[in-house]
Amino acid sequence: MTPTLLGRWETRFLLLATVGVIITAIVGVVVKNFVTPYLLLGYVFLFGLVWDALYQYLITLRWDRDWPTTFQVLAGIIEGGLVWLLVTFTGLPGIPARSMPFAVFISMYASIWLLTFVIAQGPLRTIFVQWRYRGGEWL
Amino acid sequence: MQREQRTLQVRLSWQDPVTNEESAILAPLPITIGRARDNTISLNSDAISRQHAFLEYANGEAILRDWQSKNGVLVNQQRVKRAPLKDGDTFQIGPFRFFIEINPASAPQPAAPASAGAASQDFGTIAAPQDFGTIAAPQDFGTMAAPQDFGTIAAPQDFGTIAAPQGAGAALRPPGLPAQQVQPQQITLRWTDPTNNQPREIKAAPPITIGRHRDNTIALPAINASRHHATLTLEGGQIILTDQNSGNGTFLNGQRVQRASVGPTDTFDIGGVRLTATLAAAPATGAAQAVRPTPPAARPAPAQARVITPPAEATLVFNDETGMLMPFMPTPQTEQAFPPPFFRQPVVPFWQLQQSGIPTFETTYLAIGGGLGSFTWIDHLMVSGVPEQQIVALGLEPKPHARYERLCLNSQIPNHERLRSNSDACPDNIWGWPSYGLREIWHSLTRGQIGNAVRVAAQVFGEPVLADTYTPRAIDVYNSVDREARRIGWGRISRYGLAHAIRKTDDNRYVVAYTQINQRQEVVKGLIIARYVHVAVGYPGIQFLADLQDYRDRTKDFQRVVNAYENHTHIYDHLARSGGVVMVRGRGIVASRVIQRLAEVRVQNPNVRILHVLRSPLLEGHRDGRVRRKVEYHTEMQPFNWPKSCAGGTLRKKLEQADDQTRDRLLNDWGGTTTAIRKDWRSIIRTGLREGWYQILFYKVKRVERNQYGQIASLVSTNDPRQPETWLPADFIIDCTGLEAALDSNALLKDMVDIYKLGRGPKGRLRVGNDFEVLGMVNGTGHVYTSGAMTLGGPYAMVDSFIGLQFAAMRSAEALRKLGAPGLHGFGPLRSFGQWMRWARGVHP
Repeated sequence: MTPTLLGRWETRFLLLATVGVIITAIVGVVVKNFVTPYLLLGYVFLFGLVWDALYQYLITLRWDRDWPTTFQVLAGIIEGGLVWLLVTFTGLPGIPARSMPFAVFISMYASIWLLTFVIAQGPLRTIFVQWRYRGGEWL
Repeated sequence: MQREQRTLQVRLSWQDPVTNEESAILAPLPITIGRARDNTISLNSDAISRQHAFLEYANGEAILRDWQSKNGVLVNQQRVKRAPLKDGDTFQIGPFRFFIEINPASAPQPAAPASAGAASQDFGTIAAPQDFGTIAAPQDFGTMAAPQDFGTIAAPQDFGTIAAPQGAGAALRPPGLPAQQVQPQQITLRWTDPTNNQPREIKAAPPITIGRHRDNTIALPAINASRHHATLTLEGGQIILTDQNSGNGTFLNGQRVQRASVGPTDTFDIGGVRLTATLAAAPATGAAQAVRPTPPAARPAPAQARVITPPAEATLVFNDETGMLMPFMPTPQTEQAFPPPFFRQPVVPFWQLQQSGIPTFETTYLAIGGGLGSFTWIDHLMVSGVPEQQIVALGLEPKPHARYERLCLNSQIPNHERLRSNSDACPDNIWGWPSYGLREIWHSLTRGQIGNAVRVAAQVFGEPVLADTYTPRAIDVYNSVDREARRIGWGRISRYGLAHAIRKTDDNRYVVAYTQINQRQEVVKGLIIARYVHVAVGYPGIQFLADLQDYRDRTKDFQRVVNAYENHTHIYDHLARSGGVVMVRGRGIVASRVIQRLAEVRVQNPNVRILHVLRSPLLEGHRDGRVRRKVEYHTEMQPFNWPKSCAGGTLRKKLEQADDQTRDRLLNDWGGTTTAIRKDWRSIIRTGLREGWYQILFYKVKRVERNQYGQIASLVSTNDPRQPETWLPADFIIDCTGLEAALDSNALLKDMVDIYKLGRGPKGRLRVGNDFEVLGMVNGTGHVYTSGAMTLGGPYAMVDSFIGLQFAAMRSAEALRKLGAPGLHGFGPLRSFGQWMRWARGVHP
């Protein structure tokens, strides 16, 4: 991938607002609590906006100004790890510390991440033909 | 009315004062001499003016005249402006001493009597053979572009490299050889000049080379002829036509051939020009009775046989009054000329097209080129909703990837090898998904090749950090393009034809003049009118380093000094048999491919050595901001030919938003020659350097000559002025510096730029808008778009890649939709997905 910052933000929004919202709803049904999962999704998105800025800075240090697939995977692990640490140890506004079991967190986070990752690898282009030329911007 | 063209055949020989090498040329008058490359004899010396002197024919005599020289012309040590020359005279031009023989061909048989049918020995004056009815009055030459566009007779191969007599007393050996040779058979060639539709005929001794470049025996001004397109040789009394791996192929009686024998009734087609070849001494086609056997009275009888090679006579027509080549000619046109005379106006009135009597076809969308650029544009149009009935593609190849494939094959990327192209740059699929990587994984799985599937998957996932970047197999790309071509009905869209010129019409459209060869092998002229035109004609040709071009010009040796994009398999064959030293010039992906191929040959014959000559060491790569491109073995490393982000990331955006000056700087920062990071290449270089069969040398090459051992020696110097120049011999030199991209080398584009006074971009190519519209070509509601190599300097860097062609196509299709062009629909998510489904199912869009 060779994203732009705006492209990262737009794509992150698009995928979390669709795939993310649907999977979170499923998690909500299972745990009979919709507030915490949706809040968690919101935090993942908000932190992500900051992460994206960092990634975009790192891109400028690469000659090809690209973002290899392995980096995407690494980024997903780091982002998830940080959110898990915050949710578990300090808590986040609306989510008290240790209020979310690890199993729930990991199944929700991993399934959302995996699905968005796969869609962003290609299928998204069948809908937005210009997406890949515009560094992920689709709006 | 027939018209006779009188001239004299002369042989000029001269000696290079520096190398002592003797050269000679046998040609009809007039002959021009100067430093400029377009002279009959081009001499490389500071003492020679660009247009120094010329020899012309007047009243049966050869007249030497000073043209525009600074240092003059000396005859008998006297500076002259004009002097008649006799057989055996000498004259001096700069440091070169010339020796002239007039009508050398008739020497063995003095003055053949004037009998009808005495054909080949008679010198000079072939008049119009009857079948050519109206041969060329001089004013018919209107449209000829430059002298080299004539069927220029170059010195046959045997000339030029006569070994200099070592230490022989005379400065210039009178080149008399015993009349030992049997006169080799000549071949008569006839064709119709595509620029003005005039018949041409020459007689020459084989081997005869035919191609677009002026160093051929016959230089065809046809843009679809390759530089060195084909050769004619004689084998066992048969004329053998051999395609020199030309871009567009050689056709014998309509069939594409690699090598075939040509009979007297056969015709063959080179770049849209139809030729016939017959044995000159056995004129079966009635040429004999048309030959004028009467020699001019003033012809001196040569005393002895001096013929080294047989005469090459020509019915090349020159201006009777001045005897000069093109620059001096008046330029009126006849009604036979093509493109027709009304093409001289920038805007052609529609009624003139109607009254021209030339078959005219009207369409909405016209793509000129017929290659991958045209294909991707039309693919985008059709996926966006334009019906195929409104589209025409004009080109010479039935398959859109034909020329690309040929260049790959020549530059040592056989079809099973991998291209340097991204996995999701798919010319058959505007979405780029599924990518070639995914498709290869899928195909491997369905064929049970689990190992390959896993390897490709790991590569696609790990690139470029954990694995070499994945690139698709050439054959997979070609097959996918063929499949998409079938899906969109390319066979019904594509028309065989060679576009010569494009003009605006007075009804907001464009007219394109083209020619084609029909099934009866006749040249058919046609006009196509369209409202929207796309021009994608690719690279005009291949480029040689100046010293190598000079060597080839002088020696006609196209075997030992080659360009990597030419067919040069004979080198690998020779090396596999006999070993040898190969000099590779240039660094980059092509050089790395060639070196890889040479390393493969070494497995068969370890007696192969590679001298990789680079101008200077390279320790640091290009820099852009904080980052620097990686360098290995004095070569910059990068997966593709531009930083990856130029395809669709931050760099793409940056370039699009920049002004001309910034674009130029950015392209310089990001550009340059690079090679792909490949483990196999790295290991070849490492092993070669360690074992000594591969050497990297840093030299500037001054000149290339053939030495006394028959090798190609390069006179080289280092950057250190104290080091003396040395000769570096090799058996072959492969120029890996790339394709020629000069806009002016493409006749169609040059004509368009000239007549409409179009501006040029920062790289000297077409000036295009961000939607790839050719700026300055708008004609009311009509628009011209382009894509490919000719748009470098515009909004996109990777213009000559698959992704670049698709990007340009997408942009222009989008612009056309906004203009309300017919058939184009908005390309929202729904339409996009629906069309993708049709692609996936292989259904017509």
